[in-house]
Amino acid sequence: MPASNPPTAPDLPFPVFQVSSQVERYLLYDINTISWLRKTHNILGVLIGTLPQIPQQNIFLGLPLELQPEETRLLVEKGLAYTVNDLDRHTQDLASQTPDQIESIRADLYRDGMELARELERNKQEQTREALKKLRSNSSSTTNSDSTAGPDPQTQDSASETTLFDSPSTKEPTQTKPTINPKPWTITPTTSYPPLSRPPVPLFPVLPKVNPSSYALFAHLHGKGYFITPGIRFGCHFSVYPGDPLRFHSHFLAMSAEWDEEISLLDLVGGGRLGTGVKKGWLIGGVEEKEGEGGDGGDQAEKDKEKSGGAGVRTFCIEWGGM
Amino acid sequence: MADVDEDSIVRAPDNTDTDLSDEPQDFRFLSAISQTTTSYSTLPRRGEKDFEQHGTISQSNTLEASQQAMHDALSVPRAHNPKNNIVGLYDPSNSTTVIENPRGPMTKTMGKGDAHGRLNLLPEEALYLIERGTMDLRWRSEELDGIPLSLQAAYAHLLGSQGLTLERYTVYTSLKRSGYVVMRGPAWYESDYDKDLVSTRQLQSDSKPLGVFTRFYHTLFSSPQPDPLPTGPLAPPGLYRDYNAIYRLLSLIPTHDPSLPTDRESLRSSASMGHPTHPTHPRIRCCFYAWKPTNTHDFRKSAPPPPDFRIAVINAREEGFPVLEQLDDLLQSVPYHPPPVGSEGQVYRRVKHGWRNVVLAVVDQGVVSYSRIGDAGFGMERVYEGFGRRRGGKRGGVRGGRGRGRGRGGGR
Repeated sequence: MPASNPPTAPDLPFPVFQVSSQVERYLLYDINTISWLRKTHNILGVLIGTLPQIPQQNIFLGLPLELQPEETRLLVEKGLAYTVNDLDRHTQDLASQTPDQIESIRADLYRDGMELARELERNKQEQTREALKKLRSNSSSTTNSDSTAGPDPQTQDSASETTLFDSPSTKEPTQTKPTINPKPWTITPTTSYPPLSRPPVPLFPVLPKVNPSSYALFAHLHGKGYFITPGIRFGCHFSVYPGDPLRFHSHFLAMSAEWDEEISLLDLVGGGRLGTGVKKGWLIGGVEEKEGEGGDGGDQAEKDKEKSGGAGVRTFCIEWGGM
Repeated sequence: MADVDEDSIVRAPDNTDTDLSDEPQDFRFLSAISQTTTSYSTLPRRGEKDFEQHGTISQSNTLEASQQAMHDALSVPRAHNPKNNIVGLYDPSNSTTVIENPRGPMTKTMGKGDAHGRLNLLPEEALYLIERGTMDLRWRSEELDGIPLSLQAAYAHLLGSQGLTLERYTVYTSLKRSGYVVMRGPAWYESDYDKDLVSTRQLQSDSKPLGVFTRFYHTLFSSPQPDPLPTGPLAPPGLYRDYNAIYRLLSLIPTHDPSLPTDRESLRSSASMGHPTHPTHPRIRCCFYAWKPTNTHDFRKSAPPPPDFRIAVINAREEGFPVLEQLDDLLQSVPYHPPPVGSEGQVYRRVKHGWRNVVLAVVDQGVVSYSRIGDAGFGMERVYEGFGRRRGGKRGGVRGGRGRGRGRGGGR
């Protein structure tokens, strides 16, 4: 089992991996960064991988973590992260490794595998010993008629071993304990950085493409301290939580819109009813267009608003009235 | 009263309502499962959650414990026992994955064997096997001999190759984790798009094989009905043996017959309401065929039986819900699969089953939501034919007539 340390802050800015130029999705592989983001920056992402310890279920998922483009963009704009084209990076890095570097990676992997094998072997022996101890205390308390067994625990030990456990490995713990030399296990590393050295920070950050109105709403809600997940489960853009979803129910189903966008009344009723039905508020929000800002200089104003992370966003919450 | 009735329909039945994968789960339960068994019966019920922060130490401690449990669960390495290690080789020059010595249960349902006894894997299969800790994938190259691909390297290299998008992969793994056998459908290569399309002639030939007696019966009883006059009453005077004959005369509005292929041109013009059409909507095809785990004991991947489900993948962020034209095109591409024999009269069951059906997997940033689309064929269910036979035949009608919209604002 890995040591359960609280997540420490990664070196900033940290890399977020865009799979390749073809696949514009943002993934994180480093569990420490993921836990840290969750704890200190309210950034959740979605776990999309299979947990190797219990692979045949869909309830608890594992690494990697997929970040929404909105989340990635927010992190990049805040200067916490930068994006890296993962496929290009790998191709480049693997080609440029010297034989020595590769040799040291190989040696590290071998050492880790060896360590794991030893640890597992130790655990196995520990369990065997525990089981034996239990067995012995049971047998001594229930059947005291065992007259042939002497007071020497060592002999009794081996006797019960050979009769009850017919495997040769259980003999090892009592006799050849210090010289365990099992075959090394192999480990699939989760991340490539490390062992490879971290990709360099680009001079000009690449901003992920987002829908401007939904990004503004996202940044606004995130700035208010909410936790945000994709909203497809409730048919909205984002589900908004007042705290970590591990502990809290979501409060709002958020939908973004342009300020002057016509919203069908039926959507409003539908959203409001659905939200009320699942005890949440249906929240609609967008960037307010002030007088005189629209029309000409609109582009610049738009950009400024985006930069400032959801400034000028107004939100409304709709609930089913039940008159 | 009507209110309660409606709400019970709107709200899904219990089993779907408590779908555990619908909510982020408390990882503290995970250790409980992994210590006992992996059997589904021991999976936890929905965890207790709070409405909001109330600033107590107890609450923050619980949250801390959950976060720690999650952190620990995600830190478990993918380790391979040297005794039964399955090693795959990835060739970066042509992005292929091969297992030299395939063994284990997965060989039955995944990959493609070749003459040398090797197993060639599709990128999604390879990535899934790495992710679940089954396979150890290594570089096939001189310098990197014996070095495994990290999970990250595998994602970077395998996604995007051979048509694999992250959305498709997300659906693939979600199905695999549930235990389905999954194989590729026609969506991957444009040349396969019309592979499963059933030709019109073939359909018509095996659509209605009437027996001699049926035909005789039909000539006896159906023909005497006079054709309605263009201006006259709907049911002209004459001899009627039952009400059905009259009802048949009353059905004036043509309905879609799912056993016949649709007329694309008329569909397009009616869908566009006279606006110039642009058939530029990309065509959708089934991405995966899935078989239920119970049917897999004698599964042969070279000659698989007809799949239990056909699944199309849609990206919620980039595509809208398919338009009628796309849906029709998609439904036409799957085999004709009418409601089972013996279900006659059970209108709900038949309409739900449909005459052709596909499953749409809508993916929003790693979260998958499945919906089943069927060609319902309401017009095929002659509800009036059941009137005389059974009580309650009326239930076949479409719900929600006029005048129900008002006065039920009783939602809480």
